Amino acid sequence: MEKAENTREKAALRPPSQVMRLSRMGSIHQCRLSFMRILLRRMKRENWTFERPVFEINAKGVGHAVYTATGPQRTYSLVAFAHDLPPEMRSDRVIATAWDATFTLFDGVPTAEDIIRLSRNVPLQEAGRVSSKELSVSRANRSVRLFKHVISSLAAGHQPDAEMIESVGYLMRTTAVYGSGKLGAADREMICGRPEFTAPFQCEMLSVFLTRAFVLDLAEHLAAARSPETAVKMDPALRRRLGIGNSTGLGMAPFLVNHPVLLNNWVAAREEALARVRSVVTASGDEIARFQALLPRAVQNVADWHSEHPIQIEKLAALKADLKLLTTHVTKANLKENAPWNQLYLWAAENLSTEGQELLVSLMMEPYGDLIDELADCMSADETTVFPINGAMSLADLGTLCDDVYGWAKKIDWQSHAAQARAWYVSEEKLEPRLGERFEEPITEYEQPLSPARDAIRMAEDLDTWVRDDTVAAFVLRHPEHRHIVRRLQLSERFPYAEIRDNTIDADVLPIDMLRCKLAFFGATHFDPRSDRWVRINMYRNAPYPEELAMSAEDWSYPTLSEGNA
Amino acid sequence: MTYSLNEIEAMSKRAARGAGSDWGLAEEAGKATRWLSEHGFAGPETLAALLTQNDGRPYASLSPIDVNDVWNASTGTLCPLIAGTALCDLAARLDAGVTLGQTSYPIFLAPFVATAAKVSGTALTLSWDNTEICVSSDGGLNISHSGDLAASVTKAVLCKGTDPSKCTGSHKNRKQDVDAKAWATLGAFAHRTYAPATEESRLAGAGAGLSDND
Repeated sequence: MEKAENTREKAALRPPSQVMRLSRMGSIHQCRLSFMRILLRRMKRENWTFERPVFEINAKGVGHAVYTATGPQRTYSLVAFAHDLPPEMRSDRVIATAWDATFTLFDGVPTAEDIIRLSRNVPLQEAGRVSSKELSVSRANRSVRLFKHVISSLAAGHQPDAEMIESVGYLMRTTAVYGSGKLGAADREMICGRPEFTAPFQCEMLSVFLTRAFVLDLAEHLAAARSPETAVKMDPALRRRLGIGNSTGLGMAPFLVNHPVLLNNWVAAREEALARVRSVVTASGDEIARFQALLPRAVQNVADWHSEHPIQIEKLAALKADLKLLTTHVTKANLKENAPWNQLYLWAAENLSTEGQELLVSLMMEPYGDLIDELADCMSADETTVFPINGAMSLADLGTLCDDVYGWAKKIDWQSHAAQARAWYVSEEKLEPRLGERFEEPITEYEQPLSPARDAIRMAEDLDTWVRDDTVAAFVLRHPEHRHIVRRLQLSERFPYAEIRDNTIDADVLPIDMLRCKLAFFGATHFDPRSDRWVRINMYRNAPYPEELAMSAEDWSYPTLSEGNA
Repeated sequence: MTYSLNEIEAMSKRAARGAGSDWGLAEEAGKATRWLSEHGFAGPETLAALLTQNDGRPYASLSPIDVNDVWNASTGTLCPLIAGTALCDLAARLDAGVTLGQTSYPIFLAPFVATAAKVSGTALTLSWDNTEICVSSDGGLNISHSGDLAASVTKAVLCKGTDPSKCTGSHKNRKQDVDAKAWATLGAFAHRTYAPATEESRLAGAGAGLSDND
């Protein structure tokens, strides 16, 4: 696996007991292996072209538009529907029934008939149906105050207030992006063989990338419609500061637990990348310069990150202090020789908060695209191959596996209410995932299998009453209630980062840690929790727009330092 | 109506759970139903009939009493989800031959035996009445039948090793259009897994902010 001669004996991978703690998963940052970065790298490398063949939107902002992205073999089209939404209907939750804009990513270029069919379904979202010609379905709501401000400013002939743009960061936020066969769309299995979609969530990321272009066009269009004589376009430097927001609730947390192999492959790729960088013996002048140039941009990015949530405020304060320490440290540290990145990492582990350590992990990867970008090819998962249970395994081996992965959970007092305080369930209201209080609400009978630690302990208790050389097949035939956790344990033998090493139903569990982990892998920034189970983020902030992609730098996710934000 | 395979799997898993299966078995039901649809069989329709038939019957009455000799259920008829899962768990033993007694909807054993063939690297044949299904370790599939593939019950089923050359077909004509009544039946079972909405859970359970008009 060694990539370059300039590597010493490879640094060890960080153990799952360290990496898979919720507090650390809830502190990671986007990196070169994030899915947005993977997508834009590919599209730039392959010279993708972008067009807007249709933009039929009236002065009230109602209509539709089509944006195409064409790669070496295929064209994909974002079909966008813009609506006039009364404020009382604006909700980011799953239970909403109307939105400011709705979208689908179409496989190819839609015909007029396709558009008519989609116009009858996509605006309805979950209440509509799409077909295997569609790859994703999504919707977005306006940031009301920024959208208004931008339109009125542009209409009046001047640029919107930069500070206001900084403080919100987006004109619209998506509230769900459905892929993988949802609502009748194409199954992932139908498209995962295409090179552009082998990495995870690439069609969803493409859909959001094009959505960002549409939202900006919509704002400029509405400004021009309001005041054709005076309206101006948005300044290119300012518009890059706008990403697409996302408002996400509990749906993403179950995803990580329900897709353990995928979670493993994401984390394993990132950990392998870190180990490769830590194994570099000597850093070149260019590599050091790239790191040093990015550090102040990372500082700026953190300065641009706002949250009103007490937990995140505290974490941000620590992160800012970390970055001060780091900035001082790298002026004195030898970044050239003796495995400099390993030394820097070890220094950080001693001196920085978890947020700071994980930001450094992302930053250290930046100069080493040649060493690590190939790991993007290892991040998807064929989950069918790991599904079967190995019935021939002995119960002694199953017990050992359980101790290895869930030994820590045996120290928890599972009789205490606090250890089982929560239960994950699905509401009959539009199937919204929720987290409830087990001892206060009648929800236990609806509990989803999202507490593997407790399930492992329950299994271990029954295992104690069986003969150790008996087989897993015999055990699960008599104990079908343990089949789910047995499957998980067996796959975690091959996929060490598959299991979260914390109690996901504890009274103190913070679901936002799980959301943060998934969203950071997407490439999101500026995590802004609205509660312990709801977070707003920014996607593609500072990214090039489609027509700018060919000329853009690959480290776009760190803001450039200009006069305005130096 | 046409459904994606992911929708078929998700609905089947929830329906099986709603009908009383433990989660691990419900996952198997989802995967098996998906396999049937992917290979041109009436997956959701068969699952709807099976769940309706076995609704309220305890696991112990539908599972094999003993897996060393002929497999039989204590009440007389094996559930193919339970028996199929057990067959797959014992994949390495199937080459030598396993006989099942009376079994409901034997077509539901096919996906499990197909997986067992892959896991054990052995071509396997599954036969009942005038039906024979051969599956190979690389996904090959051959079906010969003069009887009813969707039979609701059979007296006996034999699973044993076979010559891989007997299973060279592919049989991949997906069947993704699902009978509306069957889908509604699965939906009704799935609905049992959803918590009734209460004002309290609506406000607190999802944890959203108070206003999104900002």
